[in-house]
Amino acid sequence: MAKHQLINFDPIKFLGLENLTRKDKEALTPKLIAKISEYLVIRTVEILPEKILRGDLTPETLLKKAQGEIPDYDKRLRSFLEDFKTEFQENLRSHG
Amino acid sequence: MVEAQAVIEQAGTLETAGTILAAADKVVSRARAALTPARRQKAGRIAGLLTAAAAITYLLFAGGCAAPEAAPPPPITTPAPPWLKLTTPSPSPPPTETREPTRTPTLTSTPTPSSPPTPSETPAPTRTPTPTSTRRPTLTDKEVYERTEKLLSATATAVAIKGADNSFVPEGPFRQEHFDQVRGGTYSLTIYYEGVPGRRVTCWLARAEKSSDGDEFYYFITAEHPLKPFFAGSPVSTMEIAQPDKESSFPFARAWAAALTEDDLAVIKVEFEKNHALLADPLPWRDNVEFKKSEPIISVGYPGVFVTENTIVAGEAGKVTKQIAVDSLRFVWVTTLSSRGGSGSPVAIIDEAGELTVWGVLSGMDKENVERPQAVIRNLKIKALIDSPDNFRPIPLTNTSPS
Repeated sequence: MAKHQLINFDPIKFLGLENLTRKDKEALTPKLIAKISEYLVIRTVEILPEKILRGDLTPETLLKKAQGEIPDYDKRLRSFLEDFKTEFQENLRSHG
Repeated sequence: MVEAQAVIEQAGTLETAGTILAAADKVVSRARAALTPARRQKAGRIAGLLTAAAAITYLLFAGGCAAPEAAPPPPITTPAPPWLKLTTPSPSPPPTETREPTRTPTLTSTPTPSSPPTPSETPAPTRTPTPTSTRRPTLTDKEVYERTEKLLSATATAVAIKGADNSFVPEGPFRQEHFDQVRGGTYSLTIYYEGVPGRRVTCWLARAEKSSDGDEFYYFITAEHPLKPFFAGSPVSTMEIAQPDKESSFPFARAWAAALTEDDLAVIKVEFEKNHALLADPLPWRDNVEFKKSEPIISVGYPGVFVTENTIVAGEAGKVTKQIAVDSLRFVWVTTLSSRGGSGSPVAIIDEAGELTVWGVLSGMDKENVERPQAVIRNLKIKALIDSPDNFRPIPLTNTSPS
């Protein structure tokens, strides 16, 4: 994956919310980052073996352990992100 | 994506932010509910530690996979900065730098230095590699140190051969007088702890004031991370503020420290044993400066490899390459090199009035640009910190000089 794509990840674009006002986009971006990150932590905890989860873990150490433990972890993260998007859009649709 | 837009259009001006956040909350809640109670508790504890910086670390790994539709623009190749041209003894020619494409002015999510490696004395442990990753791997902290120190060491050697004691080469709007001004207000800060490795970093004078009793107090700015052991309770055994290039040391009677941890900023307030006429004027500075991409900057500091090579002072002109803000935290990338000992170095611009103004301190190194790691700078937010005496904790000292 090219580095540019890494750098340019934008939750507003990713979730298809580009029609929002600029003000809404700015207000929502950090909050969506927090939500998506929390979701990734939860899904990572779900798939890691019990022994890896022992002891005190921070988000950073969890990520490092997952990278070492789970083959194709970045692909799993992609799949988690897609899950988030699908479910998010379903929730949005049901609200509308 | 089309569906989400359609929903928003359909509903007109929905109570958008609330609706969107509720939809996101629901996704998170459902994922949490799917965990066993023990794992739910564990995930809650870990997620509770998610700072803005940690959150964007996750998106470093996840986000890159999530934006496949954007075709990567061609890389922009820029020449190496002038000081690199001095590296005659360098074992290999400096690589060209590939920059990121221009970003939108709105600062949004991106990978960041969530924990940019800090230029401390002790390198952070190396990261476990991900052998199956399809992404280009980032450098480990250790590799970043090795690479930057090799470049800096070669530069320092070349400068020493020329008989100079600093690496500054006038460039862009920065002339020798600007370098001299920043250099005059920049000091090395050596701090040793009892039972914890000590370190030597860089600090700069931001304010000098006289109390009604006639006592003089000086406020030095540095990065917070070298002071973490102190704020965590480790006693400070030795502290020294000096200008090694001028062979000047300034023993002091009392010291205090205050910090903004998330911004990696610290203020050290000292009362010297006697009034020191040798101290230059404080450097002009400003909090929360807004700047543009490609804005020229100058940085001056005392990276350890320079001192080893007897070159002493590293001065470098560079440019802002990108900036990222999440909540109130802002990270700025510049094309200067960072190395152990450089933490806390002042980073200045020429402001709209043509005056040199410090706007940030060197905080860490970027691991994404594998060809030439850049420095990560944190914006100043120090006025409120300096102005309130309640923010300061006394630093009890057993010595004031490491010698």
